[in-house]
Amino acid sequence: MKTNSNQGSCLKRFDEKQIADRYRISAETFLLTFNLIFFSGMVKIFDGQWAVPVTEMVVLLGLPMTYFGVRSALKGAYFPGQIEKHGWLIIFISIAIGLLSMSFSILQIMKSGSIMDNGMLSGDLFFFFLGIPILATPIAFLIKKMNKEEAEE
Amino acid sequence: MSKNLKIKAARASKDMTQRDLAEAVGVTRQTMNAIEMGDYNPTLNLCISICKVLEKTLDELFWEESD
Repeated sequence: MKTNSNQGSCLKRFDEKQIADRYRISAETFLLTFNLIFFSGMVKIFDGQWAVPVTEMVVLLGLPMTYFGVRSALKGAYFPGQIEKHGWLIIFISIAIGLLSMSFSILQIMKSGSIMDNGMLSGDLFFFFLGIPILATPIAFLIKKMNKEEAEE
Repeated sequence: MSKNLKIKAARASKDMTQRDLAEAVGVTRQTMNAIEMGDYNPTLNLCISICKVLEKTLDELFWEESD
């Protein structure tokens, strides 16, 4: 096999398609965040507070974070092709933290018996919405990794 | 965007895999696959790199004849 030695033979950490994907995903995430804040504001104006402030904050942060993380993982925009040892450690720690966070939230909900508090989403959901992006991103990455390995076989 | 079968043919004629070509031009295999499948429009710099590695001209690999 003959290759041109003038070309960059070493694989850069991220290439131009990954950079382009990042711009696209960032713009989509911005629009999602914008819309969520807008609708949250509209609901507050016409219907009043829909969640306790801490839960409202984590919903408005957590949903765009989940979208950004999952889309980036599935597109391979922020992650190198090969995972090094510490990469696997980060993935499993992240899954563990996500599961722990959601379990804690579910236990709190079971204890209080409701997710509503005076007609608003209660503070018990804080760790649930916090756990979603922490759990979803590494899972999306693992799915992408498994699909990639199947495609290469 | 249609599939770029010219790159695939040129790559096969030089007995290169997608991974080989991707490494030679400094991109990921996924990017090279997206270019061949017509899912991604490469920059001119990347087109030139691919042409140099495959020893073809830009016309030979990227020009599409209109019907």
